[in-house]
Amino acid sequence: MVAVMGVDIMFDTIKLNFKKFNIAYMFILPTLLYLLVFQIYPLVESVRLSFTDLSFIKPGSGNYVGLENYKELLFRDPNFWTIVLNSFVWVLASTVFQYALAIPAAVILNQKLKLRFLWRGLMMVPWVTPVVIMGLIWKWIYDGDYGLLNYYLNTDIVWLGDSTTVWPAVLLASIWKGLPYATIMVLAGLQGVPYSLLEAAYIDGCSKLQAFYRVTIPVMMPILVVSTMISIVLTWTKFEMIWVLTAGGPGVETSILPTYIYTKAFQNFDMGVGSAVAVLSMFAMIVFVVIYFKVLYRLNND
Amino acid sequence: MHRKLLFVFLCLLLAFSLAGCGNSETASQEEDHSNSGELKANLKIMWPGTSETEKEVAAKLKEKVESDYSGINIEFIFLSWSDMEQKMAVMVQSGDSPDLMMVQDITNPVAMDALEPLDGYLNDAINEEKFIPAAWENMQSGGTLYAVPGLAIIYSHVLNTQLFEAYGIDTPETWDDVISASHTLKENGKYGYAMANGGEGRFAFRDFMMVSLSNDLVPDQVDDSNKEKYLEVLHFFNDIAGDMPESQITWEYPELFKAWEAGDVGIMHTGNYFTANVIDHGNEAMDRTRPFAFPAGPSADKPQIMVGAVGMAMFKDSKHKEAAWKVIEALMSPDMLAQWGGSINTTAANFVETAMLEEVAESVYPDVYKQHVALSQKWSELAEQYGVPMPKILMQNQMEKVVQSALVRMLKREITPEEAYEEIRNGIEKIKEN
Amino acid sequence: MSHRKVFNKVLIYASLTVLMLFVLLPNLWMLSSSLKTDQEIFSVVPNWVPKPVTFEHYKWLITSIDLNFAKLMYNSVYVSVVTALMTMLFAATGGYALGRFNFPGAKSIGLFLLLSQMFQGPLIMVPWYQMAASWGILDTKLVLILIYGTATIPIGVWLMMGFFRTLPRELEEAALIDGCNKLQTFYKVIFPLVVPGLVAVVLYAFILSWNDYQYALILTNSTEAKTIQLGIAELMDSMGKANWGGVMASGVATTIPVIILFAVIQKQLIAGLTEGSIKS
Repeated sequence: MVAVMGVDIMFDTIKLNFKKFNIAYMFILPTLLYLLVFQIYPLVESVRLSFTDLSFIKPGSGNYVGLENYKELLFRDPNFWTIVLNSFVWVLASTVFQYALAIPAAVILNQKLKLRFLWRGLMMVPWVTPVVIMGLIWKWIYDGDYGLLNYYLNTDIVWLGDSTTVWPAVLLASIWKGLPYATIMVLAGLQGVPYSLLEAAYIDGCSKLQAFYRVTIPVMMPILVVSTMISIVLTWTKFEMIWVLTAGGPGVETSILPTYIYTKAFQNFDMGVGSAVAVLSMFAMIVFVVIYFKVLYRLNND
Repeated sequence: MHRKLLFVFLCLLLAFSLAGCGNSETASQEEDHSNSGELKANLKIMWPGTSETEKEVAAKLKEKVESDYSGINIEFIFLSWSDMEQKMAVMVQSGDSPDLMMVQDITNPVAMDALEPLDGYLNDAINEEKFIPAAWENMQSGGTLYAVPGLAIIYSHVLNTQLFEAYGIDTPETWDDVISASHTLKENGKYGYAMANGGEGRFAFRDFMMVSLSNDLVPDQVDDSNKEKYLEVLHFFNDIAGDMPESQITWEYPELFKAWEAGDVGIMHTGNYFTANVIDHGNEAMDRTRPFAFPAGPSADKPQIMVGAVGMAMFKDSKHKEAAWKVIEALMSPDMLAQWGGSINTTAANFVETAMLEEVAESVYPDVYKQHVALSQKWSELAEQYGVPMPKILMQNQMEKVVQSALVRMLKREITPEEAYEEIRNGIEKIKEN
Repeated sequence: MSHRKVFNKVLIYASLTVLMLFVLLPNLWMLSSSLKTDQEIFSVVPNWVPKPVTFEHYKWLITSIDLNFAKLMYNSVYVSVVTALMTMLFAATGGYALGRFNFPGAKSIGLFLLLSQMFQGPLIMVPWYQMAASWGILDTKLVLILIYGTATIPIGVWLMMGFFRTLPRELEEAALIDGCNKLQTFYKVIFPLVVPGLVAVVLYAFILSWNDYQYALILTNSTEAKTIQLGIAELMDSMGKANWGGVMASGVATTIPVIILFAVIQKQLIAGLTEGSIKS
């Protein structure tokens, strides 16, 4: 009896919610269906593999091994924690620097400039240049013997070989590559700031800079939050730039989680461990996302 | 709560039903023969030869096979060498393997149990006697042939004759000679020795393996009995560490060859693929490059020249094995091999006339044709004298990283050769354990 | 013009120059290399101006049957455009739902969308290959569009969610009072205001598809579906004579159309939008 009542109440709430939010449910449904059809199977399969010992080069492998892969990574793999740390530093630094540069860049491109469409177009260049070629060119820039940077700075630093310079060097290339995305997002955000609000601020005696802080930034906040979040997730999963510059090496010195997944899964053909790295990587990301929103929430409330 | 579970369950059901359980696909065994007894097949060939000349070889092969057997249709999957194993692994794992594959190292595909043993197919035209022994052996695993070698890749060190003459250095005959030559060059502002230690570690490992072989050691042998040999090799590299470019830690072949072309390097390793690699950097380098057998180390009595091969392998799961073999036969004909071999280095077969190879080489490398032929001959001589099959090491990719990391740190003077040995040994033992 | 205004102008153009130098320098090298002879490309002393200027690499690019540049470019453009348009539809609707309504499950869905991105990359290649094989869509443009959608749609929805949230709450209420129904409110009042966001999403989806290498590598075989990224990589890594000049030229030739495309899109759409927001 109680159960039946429970079900009734449940359906009532659904009906109620549906009426109230029918358009929301209708609008989110296509996206959900798309992901269920095309994303769930690979996702579930990857998680399943992380509990097996599947290795391509061991016929007959793929048996259930419980948490073995996870134990191996968390407790016995001497490299794993270094790589996790690398990843966090990499993601934080990339995102912070990207946006620190993107905001002024977008403001410049939002001014009344001659040939503005051209500058905005050219801003996209790093994003659309094939990564394989960019790897080639950045390596040439950084080369210790014949590199452009050393040539003009009159130094002989092996930028990608010295453990003190390799991270800044890779980071610079990655910021260069990611800057257009961040700039476009901020630029799009700037378009949404109503001029009337800015005018009101000027009338109140704000300088341009003050108006920017008091009006523009708060209005753009939702976009900034979302697009930085996306930057974080993308940097967390993409690794092309590191791969073409150092391949995560020497050894695993410049490895981050995605390069480690690639190495494990497709160089060592160890799908079980590779998948386990991916699952752990996802958990780390969840922690990161939660902290990120907590911090933002606190900042907003202060 | 139940609602959520039900929802999740339905989602999973939907996903799996749509995924259709990829493996259980009941692909019908296609007939190899049509009614008239003619071979009928659509063949997929993984072809990592993507330079213009190699694609020409592919086009000619297709033309030849399709005109000889009107029922066979060839489709090439062009991709780069570095991507091939990944794609092959995915295809094999998904039960959708292609029919044929160009291959340099059969170790991984054999371990995946993906390749068809070819001994049963051999005939008068294609058999062991027609090929360079080391190349043939390189395509074997446990005595079984898994690919027919087409190109022979002969690896050796080369020296810069211009520098060696300028500073009055003779061709090294012992490791000490190499070391002193290297020191002399360094004193004169050049790099005595250079290697490409960057990237995924393949080239560093290759160099390490070549020097190890000349000391009668295969780098995956880390047991106690080989400790001394191992340390000798590491000490050798340690002795010349100061003569090498610091920046080589980030180099791969293009940068190494650039340094070679600039005339800054006395000794490096390469192979008979040299011309194709160096030609973009200018032709002068061809004149002052001389291959030599890396001298025997303290624990060995003669040099060893590593010989690998590029061959054509057939997949176990191919549904058209008879037709696939016809393709291998067509590729192993003198004119096809001349076309293929001439555009890169030399063929693994002994029935291709040198004149034919040289004719192709002349069309591909018109400016440095003579030098190219002279170098090729030199490499062939070295292989005849000292050739050994390139060692096949299971899970070499993983060991490459271990060796790369230890070597780089040793060359940076962060660890001693003894520590490097321990690191390599532990790393390799751990890889073997798994 | 007052001194202050002149000063501002100088400051703005100076910053623009610095920005453009940073953004363009590596590509200027690519451009310059593509006009050099093979030997000069690898010259040890960097020189920015090719001597002599040669167009042989571009000539090769147009005439080469091996690379089939035009076909691969067509594939890339086709796949990227379709992915971008598809993403726009999903993102506009999904983003509206998540951005404007606090319905039960909204937060979980948001998190799920984000987390689904954690399994992008090489790891999902085997299951995807199997799915594509069983649907019989391997080696087609369709399979690329579908897999790119799994990466662009969730991100697109997230982005649009952000853009929808920047709009003042009162808009819908005002529209409802004016007698619009919910659907009309969406496409008459709300939608026009987030067009810049949509441009950003379209751009993002286009470029993600444009830049992809990994998925196309595994899921396509022939020139019917292959993208230009694969074509370029093939030029760089082979045993035979590499064609570095050709690589550089194809790099330039793949970059320029996208830049033009963006220059056009941004002009029309951002301009149109600014008008819209002034009216409101």
